Amino acid sequence: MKDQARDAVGDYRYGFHDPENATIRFDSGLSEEVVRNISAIKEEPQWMTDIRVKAFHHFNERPMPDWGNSEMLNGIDFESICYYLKSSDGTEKSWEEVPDDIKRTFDRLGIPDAEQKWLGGVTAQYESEAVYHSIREDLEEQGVIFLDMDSGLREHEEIVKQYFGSVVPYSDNKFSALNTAVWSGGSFLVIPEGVHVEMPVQAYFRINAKNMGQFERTLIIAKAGSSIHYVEGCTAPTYSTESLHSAVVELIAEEGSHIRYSTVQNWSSNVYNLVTKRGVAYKNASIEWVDGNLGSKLTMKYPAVILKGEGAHAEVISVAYAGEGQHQDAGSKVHHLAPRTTSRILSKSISKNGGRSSYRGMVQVSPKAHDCKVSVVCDALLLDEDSRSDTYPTMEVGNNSCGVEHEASVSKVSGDQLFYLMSRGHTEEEAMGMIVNGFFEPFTRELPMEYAVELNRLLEMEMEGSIG
Amino acid sequence: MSTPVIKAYNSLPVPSRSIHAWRYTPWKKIHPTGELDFVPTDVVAATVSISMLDGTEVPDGITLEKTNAEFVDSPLPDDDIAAAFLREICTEHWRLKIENKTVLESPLMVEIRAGGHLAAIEMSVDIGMHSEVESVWTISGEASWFGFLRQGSIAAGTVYSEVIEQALSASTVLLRGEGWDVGRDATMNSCLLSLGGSLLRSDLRSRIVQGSTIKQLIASHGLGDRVDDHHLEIDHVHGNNVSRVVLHSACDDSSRGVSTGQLRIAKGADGSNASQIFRNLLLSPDARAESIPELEVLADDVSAAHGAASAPIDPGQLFYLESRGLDPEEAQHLVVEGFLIDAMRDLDSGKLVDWLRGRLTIHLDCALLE
Repeated sequence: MKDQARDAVGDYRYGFHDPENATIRFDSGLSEEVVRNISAIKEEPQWMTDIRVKAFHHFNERPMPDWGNSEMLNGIDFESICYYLKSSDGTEKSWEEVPDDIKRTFDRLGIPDAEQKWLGGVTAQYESEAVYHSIREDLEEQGVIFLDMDSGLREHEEIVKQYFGSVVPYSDNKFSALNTAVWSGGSFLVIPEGVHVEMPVQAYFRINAKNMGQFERTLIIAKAGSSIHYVEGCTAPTYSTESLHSAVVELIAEEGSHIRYSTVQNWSSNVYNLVTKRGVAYKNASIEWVDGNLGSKLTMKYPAVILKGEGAHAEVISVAYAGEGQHQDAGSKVHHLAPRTTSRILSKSISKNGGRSSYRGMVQVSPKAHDCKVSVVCDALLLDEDSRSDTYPTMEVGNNSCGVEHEASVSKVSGDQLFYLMSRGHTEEEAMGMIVNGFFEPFTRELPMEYAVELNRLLEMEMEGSIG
Repeated sequence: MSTPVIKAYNSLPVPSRSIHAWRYTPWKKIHPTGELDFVPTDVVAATVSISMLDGTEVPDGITLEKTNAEFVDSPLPDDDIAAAFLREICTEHWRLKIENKTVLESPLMVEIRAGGHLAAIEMSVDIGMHSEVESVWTISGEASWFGFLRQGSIAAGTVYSEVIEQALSASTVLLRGEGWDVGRDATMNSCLLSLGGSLLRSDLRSRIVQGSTIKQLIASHGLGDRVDDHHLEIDHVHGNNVSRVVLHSACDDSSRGVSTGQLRIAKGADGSNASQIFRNLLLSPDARAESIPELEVLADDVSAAHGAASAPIDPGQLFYLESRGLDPEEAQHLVVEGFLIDAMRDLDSGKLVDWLRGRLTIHLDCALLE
């Protein structure tokens, strides 16, 4: 079995796992009872239970998407997944109070160390629940609310009720319905008017158990004139059985505010990563998705921005690396609903060892959204003859005062570039690694330095043995 | 390759709008009545005739004849609902055959005229090996609904260039399906000037093999509430070949230009060079343009690119022309003409480009007078 698992996931450095010490573990399978029990354990208000139940029925009725990688999607066995697993009695504010085995996991992932050095706040989620949560005192004093989502619902019910599902309703797609039915954990973040959070806040999501489903729900509200950089990382152990990560992220950027949401997704290659991320930007607000997809078996993720207010701006920078057995189906959606809104999408992907990367994007300009500017650029590198790259962009332009541009190219690594670097003494492998890092550079330069360094290191590891 | 089987129209499922080819003009909208089970039996056969553009006799080796209905294996999939529907309603099947080693001094002229309420025609075009042929096609008529199915093959070593002027009446609905096989070391240059009709859906698919080249060049001018929906697919079955798709759509009034396309490079088709460009010029606040240029690449030693752009006329260009004495309408007219002619830049035939330019100028002059 061990060998099988190794074959399935390769040399994945976060593939370690700890013994399961669950305080609560539901039996596998999904039913209305499971949904109601999750809500009961969390002692949620009735309106939330009702939404969960409605979403559960919608999930059952809604067919699986007939686009994308249907073969892989239809391979998901929803009945074999555990929908709720709690490993800790509560959410702690100090790492010392976190159970030893869980703390050890996060130590190995380097989270407490990073928190001390460069983060404004941290949420660490282990299986279904947040196990650690803290925020710097000065941010708390400025009125920044940063909680795990369950605490957010308990302590700020009115705000959650107002915004929950307002950007991604449960009826949006099959997986948003699933998330709404069984959500647990995630971040709740409110930045008061005019407050600029200088240091990034981070959430770290870890799946430890086998056949686990993680369904966190994140809601970020940036009040007028505020700004925030939220960073999210994800890993899981390597098992030969499959896990499911299906999150929903909702961003609300009020007038003149700025939200940057950075993700480095490095799930092990037995995880289905089917995520709905969407933000609404009001007048002169901006939302940036900086999205890195390195891991998972199948990722289907299209961070979206609805530009609702005049002068709003959206920026999506995404990279995808598809190795053996992986399909990275990523992209972006931007809906221009207001005049003088602008958007820029930059997508880069690399396919290697039979991996498949797809860019799937949508840009829509409504008839009333005059004087908009849109730029979409997709570049793909294919590193061997067994890999595949697809581009499926959609552009719908509803008036004649907008400039919409899209360009894409697919190619292999240039022989000239390799020759140039090798003539200066680099091995072919080093040269290839440098070219790949350079290819991803527009993405890494947008990340906090520590993440960028880590990403480059991960890429180098992925590129090892890629020659010959 | 599996043996092709004719599938009955009513046995096929209605295509989902999640399929990009059917996203903007669903089958119900382009069906003659919208009642999907209905297969009309009173379809009038469109007329077709050939001549030489310079008025000389059609030379030996070129024949146009009515044939029995037969299934032609073509890139149009056998479960394509539009092709199946057209096969069932067509009462006449024509074959244009050009023998091996035919070299024409003057372009061949093929005129298709669609009259009556519902009209349709099915054509196959066989062009023999090592030929050099240019042709001019005109599609005209006042039919309310016209179905046109054309399937062709270009044999090895042949260079075939065609221009098509689609000048149906302003109220005609057109359903068009085409499938072309371009043989080894053969070249196909196809250039379409799409001017007439009210609702048009064209599905143009091609397969290219080792050493072949295909250029699909399309210029479309939309007036009123015209909808011109083009779906183009090119399959690079083998490598060392070239495909070019250029589509320029000028949309005025409340017209809509739709361009969806897919360039597919098969595993092992190394040396393929594929590009796809969709450009939309939006001339009125109510005009719309939708573009989905797709790429599917399964080979690594290739060059594949696509681009799409939608924008209004550059005010700087209008200012330049107006400062030289043109009134605003004339200036816009000139920019539109240049934009549409630019789509044909890659057509390597002076005669054909001149002919098309003449047709476009007449069309735009008439539009300006209206």
